[in-house]
Amino acid sequence: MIAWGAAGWLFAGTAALDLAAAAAFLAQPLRRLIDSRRRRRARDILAELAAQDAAEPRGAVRGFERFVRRRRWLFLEEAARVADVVEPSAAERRRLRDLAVRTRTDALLARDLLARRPYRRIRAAVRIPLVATPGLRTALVRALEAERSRSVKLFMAAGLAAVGEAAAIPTLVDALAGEPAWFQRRIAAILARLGDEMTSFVPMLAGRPEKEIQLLLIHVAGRYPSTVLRDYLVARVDSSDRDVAHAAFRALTASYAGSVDHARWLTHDDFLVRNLAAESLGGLPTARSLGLLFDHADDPVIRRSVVMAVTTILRARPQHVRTTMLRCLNERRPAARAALVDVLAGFVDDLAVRLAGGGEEAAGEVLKEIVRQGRLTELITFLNRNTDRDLEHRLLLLLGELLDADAARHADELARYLDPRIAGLLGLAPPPPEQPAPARREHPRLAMLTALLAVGLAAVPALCLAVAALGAAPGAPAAAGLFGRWVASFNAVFAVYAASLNGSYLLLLAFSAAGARAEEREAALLGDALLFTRDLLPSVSIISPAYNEEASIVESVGALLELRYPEYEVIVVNDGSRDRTLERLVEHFGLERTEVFIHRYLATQQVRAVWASRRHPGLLVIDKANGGKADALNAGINAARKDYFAGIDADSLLERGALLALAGRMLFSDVEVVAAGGNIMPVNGCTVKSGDLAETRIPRRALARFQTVEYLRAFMAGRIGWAALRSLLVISGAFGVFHRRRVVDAHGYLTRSEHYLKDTVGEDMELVVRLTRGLHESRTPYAVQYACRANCWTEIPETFRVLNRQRDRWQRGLLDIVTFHRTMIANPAYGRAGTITFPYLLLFEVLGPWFEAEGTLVFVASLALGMVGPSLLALMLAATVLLGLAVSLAAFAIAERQRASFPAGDRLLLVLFAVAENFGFRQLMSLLRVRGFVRMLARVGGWGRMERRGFGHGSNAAGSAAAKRGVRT
Amino acid sequence: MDAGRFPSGLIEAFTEARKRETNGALIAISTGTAERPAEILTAASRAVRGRPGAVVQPFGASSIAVILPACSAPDARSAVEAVRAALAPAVVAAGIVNFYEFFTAEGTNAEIAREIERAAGHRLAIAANRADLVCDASDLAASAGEDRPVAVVVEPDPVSVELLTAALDAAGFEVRSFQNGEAAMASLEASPPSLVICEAMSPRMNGFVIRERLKASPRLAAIPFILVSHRKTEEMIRRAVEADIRHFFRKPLSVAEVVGLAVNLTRSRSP
Repeated sequence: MIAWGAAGWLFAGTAALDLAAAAAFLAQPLRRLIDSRRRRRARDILAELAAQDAAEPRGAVRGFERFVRRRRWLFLEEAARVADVVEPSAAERRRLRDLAVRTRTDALLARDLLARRPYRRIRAAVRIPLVATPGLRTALVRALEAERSRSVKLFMAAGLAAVGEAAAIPTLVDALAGEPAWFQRRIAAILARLGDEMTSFVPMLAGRPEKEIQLLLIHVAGRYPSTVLRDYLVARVDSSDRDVAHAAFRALTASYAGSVDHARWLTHDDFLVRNLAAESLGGLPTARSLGLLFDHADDPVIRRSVVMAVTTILRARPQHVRTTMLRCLNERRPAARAALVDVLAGFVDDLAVRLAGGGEEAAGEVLKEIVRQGRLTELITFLNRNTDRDLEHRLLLLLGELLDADAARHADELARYLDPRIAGLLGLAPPPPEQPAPARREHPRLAMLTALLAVGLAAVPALCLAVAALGAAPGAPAAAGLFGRWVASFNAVFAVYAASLNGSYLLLLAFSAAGARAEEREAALLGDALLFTRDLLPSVSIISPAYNEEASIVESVGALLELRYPEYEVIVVNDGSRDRTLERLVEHFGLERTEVFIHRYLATQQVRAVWASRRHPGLLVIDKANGGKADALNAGINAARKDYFAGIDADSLLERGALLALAGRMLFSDVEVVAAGGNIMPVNGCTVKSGDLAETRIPRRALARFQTVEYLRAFMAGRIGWAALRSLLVISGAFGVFHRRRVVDAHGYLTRSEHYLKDTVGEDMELVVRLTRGLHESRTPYAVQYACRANCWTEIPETFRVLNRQRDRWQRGLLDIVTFHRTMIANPAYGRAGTITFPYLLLFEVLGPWFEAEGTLVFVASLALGMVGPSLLALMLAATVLLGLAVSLAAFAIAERQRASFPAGDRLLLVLFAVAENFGFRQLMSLLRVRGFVRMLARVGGWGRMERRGFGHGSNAAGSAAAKRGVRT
Repeated sequence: MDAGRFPSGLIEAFTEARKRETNGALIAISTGTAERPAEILTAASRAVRGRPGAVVQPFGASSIAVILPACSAPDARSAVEAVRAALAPAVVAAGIVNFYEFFTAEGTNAEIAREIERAAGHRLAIAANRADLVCDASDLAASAGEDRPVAVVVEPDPVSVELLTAALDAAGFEVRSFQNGEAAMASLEASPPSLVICEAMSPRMNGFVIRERLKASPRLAAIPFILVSHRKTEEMIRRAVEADIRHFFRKPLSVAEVVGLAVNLTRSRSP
């Protein structure tokens, strides 16, 4: 039969593929060894160059030349690594340049500057500063003039800044015209490295009308104060363009505060200017500043700035507290009086001490006023710390009066945060235990789900029946009856399905391999000196929602505070934990309640209090009522102040360089990056020391090992590929970075409180889909990136019960998204997300599990009935096991190339588990998905109610892993 | 190494060895991970079975101590090899202190035992940091040379370590480098160096915390401290000032500047 021949060849071919992939995976250490030897040799040469005296031995240099000539890029890369740590001296630079010229490296660089592929142009631009012959400098300036790609322009600018090529400034400035704001900021950050050189060009550029150029000059003026630049700023404040005016005034107040006429600006028409003027007065702690601020304290629009500025002054000059107190009590304008009370609430300690000292009746009056206005935060903190019982008594009398007047507003705050003993004195019962949020509102679409179910269940059997009835069953014996022919065609269809599933994975894998290679090369171009350039990388707010995490919260927040990243803050959102999560944080990080203004961009459950730490200025803790993970993230977004925010699970461990790796990739994008996802790895087998990974091993339990195989395949063969295809729709909730403004504009994560009044279990994927959808609809160019070098290590389920619940959630989340965003399916208006990703999801992830379940059933049955011939068996094995194994092994090879993760024994185990998962585990996962589908339908039909206990599902680490979506491609 | 748990039997073993002028040894053994002491404990017990008076017990948080009352220096090394063979393929690091090194030391036997214990912890830290190495007095002597000032470099990036070590070595320093703050701190406490050069963003204990710890100890507070980092923002500078750090350099470093400063700082300190 022909079928046997074809099946046999297919079998042999896929088996060969497996062997090749396994070899590629297991041979990675050898590749790494060879590579490290070459790098060693390159660094030895560099050390020799550095050590040489003026009279250099020519012979040795000849030996170098041969090596350098053969590995010019590698040599330059190592030279860059060295220069990133130690500034080369002038003599070293000269020797390096000579060596480069003798090995014709300069010609190579000049040639690559004009290469067709952007990566090669970038590489040339990044390496030129090491060689920097006069010819290369001018070549770089020329290349920049002709350059079209934004990312290449950026790196060329960085190259010019690194060689200090001031002559390029006009070209760089011209390159800014008409560019979007995010790109201007990056170029401005690079240009600022040229520092003082920049100021000499100001007279030449001051007359330029382009907004971008004016903003750039303002940026420079803010960094490098000089008289000329100050005059430029003063002139620009009256600009008709409000952006320019604001930026100019901001720079003026920040860098030239002493020479600003505040009285004039405090009455300016533009309220933002008034605000900035008031804020900047805080930096000038004089009686005159205070007087000005007092005079304008009744301006409602700048009240917050006035309060902040007066507070800052009083902190710096405590002797003015008394002046402020008296001014407050004598103030006739109610608004101004309220503002001053606001200020003095921050000095409760001071007031109370005055009161206790006796004689200061004014202090008592002001305290009364503070309590009357309900400004209790600082007072509560003071009472909890205070040991003077007499003073306590006097303050409690005040609080008692307040409670008599308006118990409803203040009882909860006092009962919750006041020391239980003191709260008892006020007759307040301890707060009731946290009520979990009510069941989710998911609103799935019944009709569409039913239709999908019908297709999933019946499509293949019906098709096969038709084929069988026509008598055209492939591979069935001629004498077979209708049933036999049906079974035969079913098996054939199943084999084709499996082959196309694994085949599409294999195709994706090709893109993944290319994507991983690109990322590896890009990473080699990024030195820390560049990445830590001020303002170059976006600032990031890390939001870590925590629900009942008392066991691990301190360590995980401690680790987040130790990331390698230029500018970031950490926001922990305590989502109404029922354990001591908040107390642990308060104790360990020395938190104090503060009055921080938090925007209400997104509607969330009530935020009760904000805590901050003096020791860790980059840490903010938000205490809010329980509302689920998405709601907690939304609350974090409201408090976030940076350009991007990163959602992190509180029980995950972010590698120290992960954020840097993720943000570093953004520099290579020509369009704005709206979201970027990192790699998720199982932490179960690893050893963690003080928030740092000491040893990485695969998990010990078989169930978790199978999942490790699954994760590696899904991320290395899936996500990288989808990102390379520019159609990535999934970013794990465990670690993803998002453009804050864009997410706010899209109404944040999906919750019942927000715009769509709907909850979902798959909030992380849903957000990316909704962002993508909105950006396509508004025709905004964007990118969603993925970085496989940005690792986040997370706890994966170790028991079947938890795994089951996790997969149930994933499947329901997916179904929710597919039905909620059904207009995107196969819709070219949504680009590749619509035409590739959505159909893929529908076919292989929504309907696929049904085919798989049916196919496995029929195949096993026909195997038992002796209806499977050798050719079909070979075909089936090739299509399911061998092809799938090839994908897994190749994925391992990609992962291992990026980062040496596991010891040799573990690598072998991984291969074994990749083979074994085909006999049971994968089928089981399909079944769990089918079950998720059924349960979703059941719930819509009102058969069952989903129990909901916050996003943690319990306090143990493995339990909360249920909330994590790791593996979907 | 936390010195809280004192290996029992050490004082007796040392007293006995000193009296009879026979050698003995304290070996600190670790695989570098916190989870394995139980395994090493069994392996070590098996390896020293049959040696009269041998004691095996936990030492610090993540390692064990083996006391061999009567053994020659090569004997101690072969005991380490035996533990290693039993635990393959795990990487085993060991710090060995031979008792005879302390026979001429002054102080009560209990005090000296404390010194021995500290030295064992320190040598283990050095061994662990070099990966798969045993460290005893001969190793220290080989690297120590005559009387060179010791510079401790705390730096996770291997290239930085390589470059700094080369430069400091050329300037006459003996360099001990550590990839993380905890290992560095253990060594700093065990044997104070003349100078510390530290990356601000060092893992497991950042540069500021290391400085705070040093400052808190009267013995270590005066050691000159140089902070280096790519991330030298206003925020970082403020933290450095708060931790009383006087020298903070942005990377890339000027070798002439940093090493020159290192030489000046150590020269002015020595009597």
